[in-house]
Amino acid sequence: MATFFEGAVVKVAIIGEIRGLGGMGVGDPVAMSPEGDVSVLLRAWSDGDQNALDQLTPIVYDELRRLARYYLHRERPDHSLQATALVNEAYLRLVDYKRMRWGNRAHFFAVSAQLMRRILVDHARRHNLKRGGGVQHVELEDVAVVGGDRAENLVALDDALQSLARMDARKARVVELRFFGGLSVDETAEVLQISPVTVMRDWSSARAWLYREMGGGPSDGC
Amino acid sequence: MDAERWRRVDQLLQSALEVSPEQRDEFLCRECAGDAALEGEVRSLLDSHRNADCFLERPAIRVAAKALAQADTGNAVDSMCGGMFSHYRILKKLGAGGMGEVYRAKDTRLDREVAIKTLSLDRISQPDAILRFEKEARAACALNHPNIVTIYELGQMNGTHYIAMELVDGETVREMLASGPIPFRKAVAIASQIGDALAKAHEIGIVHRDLKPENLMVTGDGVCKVLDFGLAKLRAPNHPPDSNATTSISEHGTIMGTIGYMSPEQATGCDVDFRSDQFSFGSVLYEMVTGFPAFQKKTRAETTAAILRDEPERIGSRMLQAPPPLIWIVERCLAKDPVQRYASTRDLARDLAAVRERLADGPARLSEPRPSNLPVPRTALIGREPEAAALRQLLSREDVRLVTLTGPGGIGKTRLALQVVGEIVGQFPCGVCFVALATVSEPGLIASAIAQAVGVSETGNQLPQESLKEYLRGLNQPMLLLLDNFERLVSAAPVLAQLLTISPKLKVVVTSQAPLHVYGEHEFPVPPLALPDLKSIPPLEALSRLPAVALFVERARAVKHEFALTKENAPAIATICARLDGLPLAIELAAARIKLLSPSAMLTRLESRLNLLTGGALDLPTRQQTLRSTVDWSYGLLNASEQTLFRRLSVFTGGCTLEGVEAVCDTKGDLGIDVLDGMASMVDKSLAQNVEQVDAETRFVMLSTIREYALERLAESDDESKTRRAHAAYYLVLAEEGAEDAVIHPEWLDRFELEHDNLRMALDHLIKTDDAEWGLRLGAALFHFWETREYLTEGRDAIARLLALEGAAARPKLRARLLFAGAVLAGEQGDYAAARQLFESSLEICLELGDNRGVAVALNALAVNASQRGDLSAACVLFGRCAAIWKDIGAAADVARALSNLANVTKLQGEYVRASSLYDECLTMFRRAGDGAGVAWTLNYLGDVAREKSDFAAARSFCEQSLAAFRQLRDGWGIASALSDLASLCGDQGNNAEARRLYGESIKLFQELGHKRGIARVLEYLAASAAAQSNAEQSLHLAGAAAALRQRLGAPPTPAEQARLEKALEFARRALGSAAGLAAWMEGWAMPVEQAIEEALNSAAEPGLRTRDSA
Repeated sequence: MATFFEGAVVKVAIIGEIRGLGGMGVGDPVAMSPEGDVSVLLRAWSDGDQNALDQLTPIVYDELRRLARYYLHRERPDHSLQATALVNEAYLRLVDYKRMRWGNRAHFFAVSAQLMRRILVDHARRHNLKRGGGVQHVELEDVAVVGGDRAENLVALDDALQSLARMDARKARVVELRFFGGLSVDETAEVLQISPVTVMRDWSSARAWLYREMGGGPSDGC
Repeated sequence: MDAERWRRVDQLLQSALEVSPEQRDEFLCRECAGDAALEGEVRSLLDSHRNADCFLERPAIRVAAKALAQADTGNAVDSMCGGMFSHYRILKKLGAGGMGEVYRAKDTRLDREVAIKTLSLDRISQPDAILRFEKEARAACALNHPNIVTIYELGQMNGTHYIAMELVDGETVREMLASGPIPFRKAVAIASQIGDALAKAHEIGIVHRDLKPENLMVTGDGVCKVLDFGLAKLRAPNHPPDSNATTSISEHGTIMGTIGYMSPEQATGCDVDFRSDQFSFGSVLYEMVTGFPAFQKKTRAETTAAILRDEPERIGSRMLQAPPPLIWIVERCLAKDPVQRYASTRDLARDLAAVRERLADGPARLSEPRPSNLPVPRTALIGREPEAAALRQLLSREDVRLVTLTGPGGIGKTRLALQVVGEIVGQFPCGVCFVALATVSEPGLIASAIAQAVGVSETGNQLPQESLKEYLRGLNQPMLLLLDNFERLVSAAPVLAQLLTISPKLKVVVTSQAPLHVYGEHEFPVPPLALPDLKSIPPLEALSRLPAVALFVERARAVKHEFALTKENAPAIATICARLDGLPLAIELAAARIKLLSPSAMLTRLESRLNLLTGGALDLPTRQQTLRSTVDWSYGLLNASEQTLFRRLSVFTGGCTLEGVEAVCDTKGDLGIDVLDGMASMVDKSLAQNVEQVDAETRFVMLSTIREYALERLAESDDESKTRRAHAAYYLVLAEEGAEDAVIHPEWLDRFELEHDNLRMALDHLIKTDDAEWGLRLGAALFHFWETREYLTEGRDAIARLLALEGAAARPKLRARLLFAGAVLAGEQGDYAAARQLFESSLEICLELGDNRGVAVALNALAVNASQRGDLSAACVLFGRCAAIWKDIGAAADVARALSNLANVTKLQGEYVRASSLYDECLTMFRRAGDGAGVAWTLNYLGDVAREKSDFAAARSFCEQSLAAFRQLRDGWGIASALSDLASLCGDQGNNAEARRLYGESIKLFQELGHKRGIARVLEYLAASAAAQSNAEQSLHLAGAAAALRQRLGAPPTPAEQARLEKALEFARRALGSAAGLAAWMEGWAMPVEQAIEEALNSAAEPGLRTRDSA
């Protein structure tokens, strides 16, 4: 367990920054409460502590938003968002996972993908509610699009994933890790302890099934 | 599907994907072996697989990034901006709505800016969205109305549908509401335009269906445009609402529109017609007037429930100044049952137009024709007949709205304008107003200078220029503005153009050295006076008729009666006039010296001066140079003492009195001449003019051309800063003296008004020289003037500048006083939040200084402020603290007053028992302190409480005691007030004859005292009693007249008073019917007060009026 806290200074610095305690400088470690440590919280959550999730969500959510804004701000109108690293970067800033032991790292990926799913789906659900509630100032981009070219809904996807999990839990996890966790095929394979080929197969089946489940029908063309 | 079956499907799917597409059919047939369901399942997944190529490929965070980023900024990075869209260049995203996005764009073909509304891509798959979108455009295209946004084009580009429409530069009503309620005159002006637009739309069968503050734009000129007929639904004209004959865009039963502004029928998903728009409009209007949404609650369900069931809080209790007719219109729009709303929106528009016409202009201006304020020239106009005729003719043309008289200084522009405008005053029933702009230094101040000259005062939180615009908009007869000396304000010319656009009844005449170059301007260059031909000087008689010579002779005679044009002096005089380029002012200055110099001597001296200067300053236009040389020449003829006086006089602006000249120009007694003699000499030599004032001291004024010259000379001397400081000192003393006296002698305020320019200048000088001590003192002295004459914005600005002075911090006592003054002014503008902050700062300083009196006064003010903001419980606490401090100081009467205030608030809270006991306590204290007025008023208040509790016997007893106490004090106001209370009590108890007698007595007393607020109150009582006696029309007349009076006074009734009156009037309105009721009220509003009183008292004397049924 001791290795879990090796990166404490870095973590504190980053969390300090996220919380507006200063620039890139190192914050005051004494001021940090242990429950602010994302690694600890993630672990606690994966051990079944729901309070940990409550503390974790706003930290990660804020960081995600900050990064998203940062990227969008940088982005030129027609450039595509260089966001493949977004999730990783978010976690890099929050947790020094590279210094964790292997078991922890895999575990960490799995839990973080799950967390990301929760956060993004909750976000979409809230906005869907808002749209329905007639509240103003909701931008059209708030419709949470999943596919690049089809208008679909993160909330619907979440529902469909749950159905999929009931039939085939592994495939649902592949989707969770790849889509929500932003992991590559190889990383997914590592986490699930299966071969990359299996990951590819699972991915293609799950995608076809989800697409149909979510009312795909004939394509409009990409 | 169970897991087992899925495993099989999955296996087949993967295997099928491994075989080549051509062989898949065969593979599936073989593998499924007749299990059609299995085969179908796999095939459908294969289809999905083929189609889902982008699906889920980008990580969730990537697609959600935008939404996440906007979660708190709402700032979209828009790929459209800067790009071309069809022939439009997209400039800026303006916003997004339920249907699509709106951009500001440039139409590159027609080179104009437009608004582009797109239907966003991710919604394009919904066919009804496109249909609705096109319908919107077509519906709005059919509406050609100045208050509805014009549609230019409906198009489609790369699959994106769009509408190009008129770009409206302005604010939405929503944005206007961000700073609180909209002043009611402005609100009425906006509402009547919306009413008009809706009436037009409804006439051709279009219902808006989504009227809300976001959909209403108001431009800088006050033009309102209704946007977004996005949910408009086509309906055949006059089609019954329940028919299905027309296409309905929205599916039946679908709720469209914004929930907070929906009608009950719309909120329940029922079919709606034009009356639904009336309801939404009513909700919007309610919010515009009160600043509070009518029905919006926290949740959708609560909001819907409120729309269906609740009446919004009465407008009158939220906004005391709201005129009843406007309240009635809103109430009718907000009727839950559509049948009770307007049967035709045209009627609604008409009612609003009537309110706008009759009320927006303010009552005073309807009954009193505005007199002209043209200064009367002292001398006859000479030699200008042809120009005067031409100008007169130009001004009589209807299409000529703006005439600028141009020419160099001294050419006689003002004189000519005054002459001609003076002759045609009769053509302008709404008045002719002269606005002297020579003292206005900043283009930004022009509107307020005009407002001030026109006599439009600030009200509520409205700036003077806004009041001015409204005033002009409401003109129903021609009016003329004469703006004198515009040359330094030419950059403000667009303001004039705007005023002319606002009011078609307005004509403007301007004098300026340069034309304004605005659209519609007619330049009238004023030529020099006609000159003799020096080569062949005509015979004496013909020469004397030449304008330039005639002027010279006339002015010379004014100083030397025996002067005449003779064969001997004719050539010299003709030459002088010619050398002076026929400039009237130069000729006058020369002729004024005829006592000293013979014409030929004058010519010699003038020539040398003119030649000298012509050699020097060639860059000046000739005539200007001539004038300057002439003034210079005239100045050179003064002796040294006179020259000093002349220079020093230039520090005054807008004239001065002899006392002022003595104080400022001879502060140290170093002038060397008697000031009176010196001024007589100035006037003699036409370097200054004296203006006789009715009932006031003679004032001296310098023509602006001459003053400018004198200022230059002053700047060259080492006298300037001393003189300016003397000027500031004199006006500080004057202001402080006046401030002390003004309470008892209000005529001081007129004096301040006359010296307003000088006072401003003194204040500016003190601020500029960082003289905090004098500056703060002058500000404190002017407070009363700013307040009573309603220079609220000016006062607040000045106070803010003074408080920012470096030395202000070191003078806490003065600072506290100015903070207090600023707070009062802010409060009068209805800016209670700012007022509160300033009062609090003032309080803080008083606390630090240990100034207990100051603390108590500030606490009292804060308490009043709290009750104005409707925070009665805070008011109670503050009044309580205030009372405690007065107690510490040992000021018994002040303690009692604070308690009495506390009791008043407690009464407003409906806690009558507590209020009673507080009043009892006050009564004892006032008695002990020997404060008779306090005793009498407290008895009066106790009567009010008893009446609220329906304890009529006690109420009567208190009233009578109070009356007796007032009689003993010979306090007229108190007597009249107690009489009216007693009268109203009699009325309540059915004793109408006695009530009438007492009302008559009371109102007569109020009239004698000139106590208008009292008159208004009695009129309201009489209105209520007329209503109770079924005299509906008279009741409404009286209520209208009372409201007009209150409006003029800026003294709205208290919520309780208003609620009582409204309740009484409801009966009258029901009896007369809505339209007739409105008309009767407005008749009363326009009626002179005396007439209303007479009507009330005469008819009150008539016997045989039916009394109200006791049932």
